[in-house]
Amino acid sequence: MRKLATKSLLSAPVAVISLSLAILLACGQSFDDIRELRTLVVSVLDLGEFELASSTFEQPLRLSPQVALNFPSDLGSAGSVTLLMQPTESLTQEHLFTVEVEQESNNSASGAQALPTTTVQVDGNISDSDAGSTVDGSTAEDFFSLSHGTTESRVAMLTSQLTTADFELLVLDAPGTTVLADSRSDEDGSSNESELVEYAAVAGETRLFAIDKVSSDSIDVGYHLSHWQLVMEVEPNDTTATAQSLNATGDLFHAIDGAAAAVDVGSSVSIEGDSKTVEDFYRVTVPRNALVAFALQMTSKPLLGDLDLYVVRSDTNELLGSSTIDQSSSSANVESFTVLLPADVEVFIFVDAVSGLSDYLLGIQVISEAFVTKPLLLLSGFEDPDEVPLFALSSECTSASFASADCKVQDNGLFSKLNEFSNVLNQSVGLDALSLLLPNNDVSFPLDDDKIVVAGDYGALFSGVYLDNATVDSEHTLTSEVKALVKKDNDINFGLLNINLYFVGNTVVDAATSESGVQRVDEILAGIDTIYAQVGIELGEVKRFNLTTAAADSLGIDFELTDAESITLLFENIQREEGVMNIFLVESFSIPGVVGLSLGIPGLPVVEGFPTSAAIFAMLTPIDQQSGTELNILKRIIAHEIGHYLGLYHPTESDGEEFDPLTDTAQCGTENDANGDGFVTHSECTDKGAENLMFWVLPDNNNDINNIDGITLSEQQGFVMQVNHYVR
Amino acid sequence: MLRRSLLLLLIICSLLAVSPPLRSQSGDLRQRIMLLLTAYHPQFSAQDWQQLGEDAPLVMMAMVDELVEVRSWQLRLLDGLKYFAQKEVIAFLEGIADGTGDSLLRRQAVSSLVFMRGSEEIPRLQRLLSQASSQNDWRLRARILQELVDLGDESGLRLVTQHLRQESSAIVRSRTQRLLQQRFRRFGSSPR
Repeated sequence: MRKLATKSLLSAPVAVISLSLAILLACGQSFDDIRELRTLVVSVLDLGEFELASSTFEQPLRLSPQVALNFPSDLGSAGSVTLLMQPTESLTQEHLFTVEVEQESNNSASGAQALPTTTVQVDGNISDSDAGSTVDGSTAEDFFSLSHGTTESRVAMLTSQLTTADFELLVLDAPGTTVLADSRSDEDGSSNESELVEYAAVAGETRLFAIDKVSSDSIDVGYHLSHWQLVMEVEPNDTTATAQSLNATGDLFHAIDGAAAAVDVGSSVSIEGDSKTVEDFYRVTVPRNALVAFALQMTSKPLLGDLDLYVVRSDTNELLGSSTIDQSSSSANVESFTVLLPADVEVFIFVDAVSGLSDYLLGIQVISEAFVTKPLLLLSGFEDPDEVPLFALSSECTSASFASADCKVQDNGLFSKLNEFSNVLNQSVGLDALSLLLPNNDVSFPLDDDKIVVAGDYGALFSGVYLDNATVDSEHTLTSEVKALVKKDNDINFGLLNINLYFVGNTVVDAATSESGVQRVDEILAGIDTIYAQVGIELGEVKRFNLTTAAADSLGIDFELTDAESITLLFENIQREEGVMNIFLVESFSIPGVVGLSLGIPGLPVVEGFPTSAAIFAMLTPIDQQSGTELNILKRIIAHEIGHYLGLYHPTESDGEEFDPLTDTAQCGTENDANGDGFVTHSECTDKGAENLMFWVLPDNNNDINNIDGITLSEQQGFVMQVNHYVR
Repeated sequence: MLRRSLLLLLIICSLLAVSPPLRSQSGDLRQRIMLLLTAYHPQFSAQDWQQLGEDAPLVMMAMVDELVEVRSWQLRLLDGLKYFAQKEVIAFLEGIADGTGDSLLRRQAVSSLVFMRGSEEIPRLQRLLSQASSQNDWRLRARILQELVDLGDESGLRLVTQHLRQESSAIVRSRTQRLLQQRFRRFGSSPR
């Protein structure tokens, strides 16, 4: 059912919508008819202009100002925020822009880190001392510089003194242009624990330390809470990136002496150990669910350094508990925690010498009486270093990321479009603007139980690089305008997509407006409707326009998809309409054999002052003369590009090595490349995602091409598109 | 036209004459070629085409005539053939470019030939330009002029400016002038 009655209201303010609701009710409309008059508000926020320093690939990141975003609490399940960035000058070199977004109160999953560096402050110098030195700070952002006398690996540690704020530590080169190391991958979004950053100190070179308060709490709780402490220390035990990995061998491994011991409910066991070999390992089997308390106490005198205790599930690498949240960075006091150990699993316990060397006492007590009927069996340590399982840390994992379930280290996400929080736009289409849809998946973006974006403050970091072979003026900066389009919508199960369909040039117009041409266009639209109905999206109003000016005639032949001027000229021929997707049908493209392209993933919204975007298709054969197969190809390609336009990536790329970030789209990896040609083909990926609308390639035979009913979309793909501002 | 028909006959005979295992290879080759035709976003490199092997051009040329129902596939085939600088391929493309058939395919054949032979193609472009003088041929003229501008060869650019004085189509004139302006913005010189 098409519900055209409300289409013209979509961009209207709430008051108008409310008024219309009242009118419709008065006219006796059924509730079903008016359900799309749900709370739907679209507003554009002007976030101001920011200076973006460009850089080269050799020096890929310059810090751009933080752009503060707020996700309102009434965003709704289909609500979203689309970020838009546009340089205020025309770019003469090809750029790659990146925007990364993070939740300010929790940096857990994002590699992004917004750095408020409008003014670089250097409040003081930290002394370079092996014994370590501390500096207290109290501002949201502070910067310190440190000249190093020696070349060695160093670890900087940042400890928040209060639990309500989160701070991040970044180590940069002296001009502050390149982030050398950072603590952005800390897991719990809090600086309760120490955040460690390992970096390479070079004799005679200066490093800049940036302390960034990223928590959103400061406004509520007051400035005085924003305290941090920076501790510089040389860590004798953790001098390499893999120092804390568990696949240590040789001298680093230390087998634990002692016989196996059984621990009954209510009982405890103590183990004396020493950390002289950096890490000690124990393993425990758990017959039943058991609430177990662990305690670790340093016993050497004098008390030096810090020991930490970890409990990890051996089968999933899940960190069940740890004592790393101790605030003193010392194990002088007992570090303890209680965890519920699941039944029938093996857990590993390891004592890690973070700094210093010490004897210790490890206490384990089974405190639950409800579940445990059998004793908890404590086994001895491993006798053979080769026996130590590679359970937790793969080679690329570091201690900082240990607690994440998949132990995935996030880099700064600069060049990966699949980074869940970031978006990269190659500006070759020349529109010189970037948009980022948030959320762009429902897997890793911070969503609450109702799958609505967690309300609160977020930060966005914009950066850019020149692409290869560009002549770069390293001092050149770009000023960019940044806007946010906020869509509040509470119906995730249904949405309408309105389209303005432009036929460009006389040949296309003649073909598309002939009797059979009109039928063919109707058939294409019906096919698209069928495909998208799977995820609750219907085509709403589709308006058809004929562009028959001389300019349109000229543009429509061998259209230059990569030419900004051509695209701009197209838009000069149309009337822009907010919330309506533009589709152009031209006669041919200059790029051979291309049938369609979405200008952006997702397509830019139509916002005043910004270049708008579209999906453009080439008819090639007059539409009223196309064969059934050719028409179905066009149908598939238009549906596919609409998917891109609404924010979808290919679930599997051609090489079988890149995938979209969604978890319910099948992946077809390189193992399926039966003929070894470097491509995973449609037939090689049958039942492994080939049937998905967004698979990278069409079927290779007419039967499958013509089977439009076999095209699928996943639930999560539906989510991505439902939150898109074009779907309302 | 006759030359093209003979060439096609030769191709078809060659394909029919192959032994069964070779025919099976040909089937596999066709499938690999189809992959390059059916990608949503064709961004294939010369290497992607060339690694299809030396038998590929014969099969591709046959497919151009076979796959008439899908124009985008024909265009991609003609584009892919430019990476095989073989006598038969050049003759095949010349047959299409010089023919009187489909304008879209002719335009692509012209582009592929220019890619393969560069400035050596200028005499043909000049001839085609004078032959394609009817109002209906303006698309082909526009493409030829575009190729000449992109080539950047001095004699080619002179040909463009000479032709523009007599070009009857306003569309062709405006498109070409825009291309010239873009080129001169890039290289900072104007044609003599």
